[in-house]
Amino acid sequence: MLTYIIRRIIYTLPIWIGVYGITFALFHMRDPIAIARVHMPQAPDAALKAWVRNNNLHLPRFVNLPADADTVLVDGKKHPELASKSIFYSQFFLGFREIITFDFGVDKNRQPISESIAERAPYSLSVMLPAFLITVTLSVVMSLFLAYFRETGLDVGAVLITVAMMSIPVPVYLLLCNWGFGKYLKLVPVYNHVLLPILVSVLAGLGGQVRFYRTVFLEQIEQDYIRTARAKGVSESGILFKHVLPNSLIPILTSVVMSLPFLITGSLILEHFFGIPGMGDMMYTAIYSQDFQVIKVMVYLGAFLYMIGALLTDISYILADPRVVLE
Amino acid sequence: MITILIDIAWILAAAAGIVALRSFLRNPSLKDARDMLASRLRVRIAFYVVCAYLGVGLIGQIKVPEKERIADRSLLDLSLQWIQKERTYSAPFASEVTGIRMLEADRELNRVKGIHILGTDINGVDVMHNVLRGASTALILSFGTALVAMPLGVLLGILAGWSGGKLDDLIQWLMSTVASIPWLLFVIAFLMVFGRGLFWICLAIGLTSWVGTARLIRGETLKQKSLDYITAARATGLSVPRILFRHLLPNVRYLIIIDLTLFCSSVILAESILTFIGIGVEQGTASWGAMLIESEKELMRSPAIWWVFAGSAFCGILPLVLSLNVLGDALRDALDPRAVSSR
Amino acid sequence: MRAGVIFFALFLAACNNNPYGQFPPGKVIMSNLPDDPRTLDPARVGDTQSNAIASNLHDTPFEYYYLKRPLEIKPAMAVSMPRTGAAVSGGTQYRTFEFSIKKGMRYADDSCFAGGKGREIKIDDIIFAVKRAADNSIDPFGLPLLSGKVLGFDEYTTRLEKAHAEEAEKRDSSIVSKVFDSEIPGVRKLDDYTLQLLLTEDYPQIIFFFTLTTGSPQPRECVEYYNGRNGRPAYDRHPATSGAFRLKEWHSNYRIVLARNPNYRSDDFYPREGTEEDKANGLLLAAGRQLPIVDEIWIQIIKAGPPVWTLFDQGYLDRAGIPLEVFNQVVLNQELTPEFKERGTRLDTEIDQATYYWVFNLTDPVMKNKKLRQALSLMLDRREMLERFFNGRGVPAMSIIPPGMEGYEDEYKNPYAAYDPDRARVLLAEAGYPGGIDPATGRALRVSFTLTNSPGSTSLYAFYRSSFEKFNVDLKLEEADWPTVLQKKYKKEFQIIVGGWHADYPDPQNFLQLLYGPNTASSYNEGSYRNPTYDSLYLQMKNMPPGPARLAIIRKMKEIVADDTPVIMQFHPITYGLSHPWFSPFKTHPTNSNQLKFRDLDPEKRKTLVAQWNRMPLAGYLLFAFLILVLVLPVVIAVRKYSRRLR
Repeated sequence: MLTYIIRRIIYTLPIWIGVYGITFALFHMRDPIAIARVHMPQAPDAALKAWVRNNNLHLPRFVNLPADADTVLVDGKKHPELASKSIFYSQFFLGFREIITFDFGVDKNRQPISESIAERAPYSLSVMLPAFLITVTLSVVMSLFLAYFRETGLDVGAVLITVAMMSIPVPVYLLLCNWGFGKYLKLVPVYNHVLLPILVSVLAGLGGQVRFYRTVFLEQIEQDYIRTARAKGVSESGILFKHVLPNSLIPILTSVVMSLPFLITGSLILEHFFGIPGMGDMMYTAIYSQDFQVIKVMVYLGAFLYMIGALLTDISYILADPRVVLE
Repeated sequence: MITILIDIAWILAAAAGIVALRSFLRNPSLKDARDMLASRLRVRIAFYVVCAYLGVGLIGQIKVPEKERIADRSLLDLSLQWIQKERTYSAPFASEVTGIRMLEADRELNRVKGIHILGTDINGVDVMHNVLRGASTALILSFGTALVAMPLGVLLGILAGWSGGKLDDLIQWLMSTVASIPWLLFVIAFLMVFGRGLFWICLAIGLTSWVGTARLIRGETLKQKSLDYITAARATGLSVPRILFRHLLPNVRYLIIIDLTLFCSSVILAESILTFIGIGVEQGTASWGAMLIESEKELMRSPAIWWVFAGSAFCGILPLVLSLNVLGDALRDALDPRAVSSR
Repeated sequence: MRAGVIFFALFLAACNNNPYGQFPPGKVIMSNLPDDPRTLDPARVGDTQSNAIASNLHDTPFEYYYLKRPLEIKPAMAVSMPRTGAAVSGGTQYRTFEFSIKKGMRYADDSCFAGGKGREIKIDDIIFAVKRAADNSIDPFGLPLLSGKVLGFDEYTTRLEKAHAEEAEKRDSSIVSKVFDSEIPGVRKLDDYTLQLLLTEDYPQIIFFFTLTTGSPQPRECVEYYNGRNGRPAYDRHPATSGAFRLKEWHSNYRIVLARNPNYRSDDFYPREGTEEDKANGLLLAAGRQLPIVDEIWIQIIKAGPPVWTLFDQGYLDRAGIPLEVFNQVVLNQELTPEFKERGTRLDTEIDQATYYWVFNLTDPVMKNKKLRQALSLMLDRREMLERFFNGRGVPAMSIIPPGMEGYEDEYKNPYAAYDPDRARVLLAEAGYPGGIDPATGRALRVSFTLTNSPGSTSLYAFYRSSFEKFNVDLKLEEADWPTVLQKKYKKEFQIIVGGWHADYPDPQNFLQLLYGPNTASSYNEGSYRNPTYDSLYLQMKNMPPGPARLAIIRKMKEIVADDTPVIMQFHPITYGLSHPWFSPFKTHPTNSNQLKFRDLDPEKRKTLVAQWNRMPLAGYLLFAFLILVLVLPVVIAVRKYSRRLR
């Protein structure tokens, strides 16, 4: 088992490098002056060059050659101090070191990003965790229910409703719940409180989740061994709980464990709208203040969490289905 | 000049699409599928709805250049120019505007001159008109993004499934890498580096959403690879590209169509989220997401101005996305032999 | 299933839409800000929001009488009003400005002080405040107020600049410190509590420096202690405070809490005198009480507009502005609607001492054209804009000077600050763009307008575009975030850009300086406007005391500006504020915001009214009954019907 885990970890390394490659290509390969121009469309050259320098985009891209210290770089200046730095003082390697050491740097207000993340993560968690637990529980219960009553009018109606629920975008749920439960019914606080974002999160995810689990369960029910069980006289509910559910664990686990790491990133829209000072809100602010560094860090973080999720999922498979290790 | 060329390109593309669709649907081997689809009422309704939106979207895209005007108007705008522009907000079928100080002196100005099924927005523009305009933005966005994601996904999927070995590993590595970056973050980062606008949005979403399709196609290719007809084709000595495109591709086509339908629905939902955050389409482009973000403040009023919200959500986004989803599911039932019936 | 119903019922009963859970005990004001203040460092505070908090944290030598209008300055930390005179130094005669501060005043306790206890405030701290105002590296707010006025100030500024550069190069952190140790010749310490300034010219406005937050005493040891390193916050976030309140908590993006400062001077009382009108408005109810009256002030950071209104409406914020969307529901004919009158809400309106305008960049080849500028200014229907997008809450601006200030005249009409489509077309043609067509391109004249990125203003921006489209002028909106807009202003890279100014102090010079030619280099004259006649008139009026002579000069200046049209005048905003009945009546101040110490509130009344206002309407119960019917019933029926079948 340990070798399995180690093997899985090693498999993620190339992906981590790939993620770095993509992010690097995105942020550093384009002509920095052009990127500056996106932010300041009519600024004069000097302003663009100053922006480039402030974001460290004037440094050599891949390797710091001795010649670089003497040439005029993108920001219109010579940087003789490059001569004293190693050959690895380039955008590529500096960035690489950043992600290896988890040194995220500072944001526009000169606050260390790692501090902000530590400060904000618990707030995001306070919304995502309950929402997650409620959604999973509700969806599994409801799908089992629908699997029990498959092919009845109830099932058909439910399918239509879930598809309709999936077709409503999050902002619509958000505005509806905010107005309905917050303003009109005065049931829940409209700001700085987790109830509404949890509600919106659950509603928005329910449709898709119920459909997904229902498909998973129905796939199992159609299998032969279920027919055998039924022939043996096992009750319908017995079939669901003792046979279908355990054998559906792999897809369920995939869905559940994969979403675990993202519980701390929070939802941009929900946090900003309902005043939860979490990571989603940090992202939202970064978009508005054009804070490259924060967005870069969040992209890495997202990818990193995804990989942890995949790793955890693979490990959880072992617990659910021992056959996996032998493959 | 350029607008005319773009218009012609649009019409040709639409025509090509329709021809392809018809030939696909007329295919005799699909008779069973067609019957199954046609027999269900909701599938028929969904199909007509999608066609209606497509039509509206198309005429909303064709711009007619006029020298004296600053902004070109589309065929849609021209056909609807009989709709009156009011002074400001008005409820559906109302006789007076609302939402501003109702001064006696402005009585004449405040009268609603036309009939508006969904009322008017703050600048007096008919809401239904805006919803229809939004359809064309949704259309371009779906097509544009699909144009990026679909070919990429299909190509890489087939290559991966067919080649096996090193190339397969490489492509799978690429798929895992792209899949591990959360799409929203990638799109935001992309738009910050390259700029806003429909073109970049299509590119951004396309570059991050091809993985699902690729995985699907790869799986199917692996299955098809070992089937007799492929072995026969190989035995005949056909070149690999020919086998792939003449023999393999038609047999995975059904997957592509199903995927495309569901893909378009998720792109439209994504657009509303992006615009709601504020990094979606540019100011001034009509889109349902833009209407939603304006409705946030309108709902705060008392009495609430609900018609812009209702219009964009329930006459714009919901019918189209719902129909696409229903169609996609139905197509899957009809065409995919292994799918669990969602009936 | 049964368990679910019980749980749901419990949930309903516990439901309480109070975002704070419960109101904190004592007299606590609930207020809000749209964003974290950028800084609370008194030397750096420059924007209205940061000042709203900072001015209540830092005491100043002088302040305004709370109730007296027209505004009158009184001593706060100072013993008495300042003495002016003359003195000789180095053979030259200078005007002097001198005051003493009271003995025994203390800072709030903080770990930056020896022993953690706030020490006594000495005149050295005020001198240090003056020195910091010369430190360009911190972007001080007070620098323009002293530059060129106090003997030796500008040389000191240069010395500091050089010291910072040297320090960065040599990495020696004592160089700047040494400069702070040295003295400015024009800033004399007469004794531990007395300060004398030597002024190089007649400058009555020097007193304003000491009424603003930038003139508050700053303890050097604390400024050096809170340097943002070694886990200590920067001084921006944790200043030493001397005012009526101290900074208790600051959770970024969430909440700031101010608490009563136990070390605040005990001689500050609520005024006992006021006009009959003040008395009628309930402004003398707290007469004679020791300040500050409330225990704490909670400031929620609420970034979007709609939640502010909703929270106020529900009673969880004590005071709020009226957003555009609900205006007509609240105000009718300048009075509250019956619905709000019933609730005991109070309305206060005040024409801000501020002007909004669009700045033309006069270095731009297209914008140099005076007739074009005049034409463009005539194309905007300000009345319609105010009506539709601002609920009529503004006075169309005729000149740059706002109401309430000398130089503002009700009857003055600027011929170009109006909506005149015919004249606009004529001028447009005369400017060389007949019918709006730019002869160089053959298409509509394209003019770029740089403004802030504001997703909620889509319709307003659509209005701007369509206003000019009518004349076939293509107004291209360049949206950017605020820092970028500032950058563009600084780099003079724009054709038209948004601008505006709120009065720092109640003197028209504060506004007229915005069009003074030599101010092009600084951030005041953003459009690089230069008219020599205007400039010489400005120099004449700026040191004159208010009176008919000065008014005559200002009138001439207004005519020049009207004709030159260097800016498109927009309007003077009128602030409408609403307060709840449990919040004491108060008087707003046009420029300063350190009046939180005068506020009072009745927490019991708040609790009662809030509970009353936030009961779920009958419709809610009906809705739940309906939901249960619709959701639960079909399920129960289906279960009954089909469980037989599948068993």
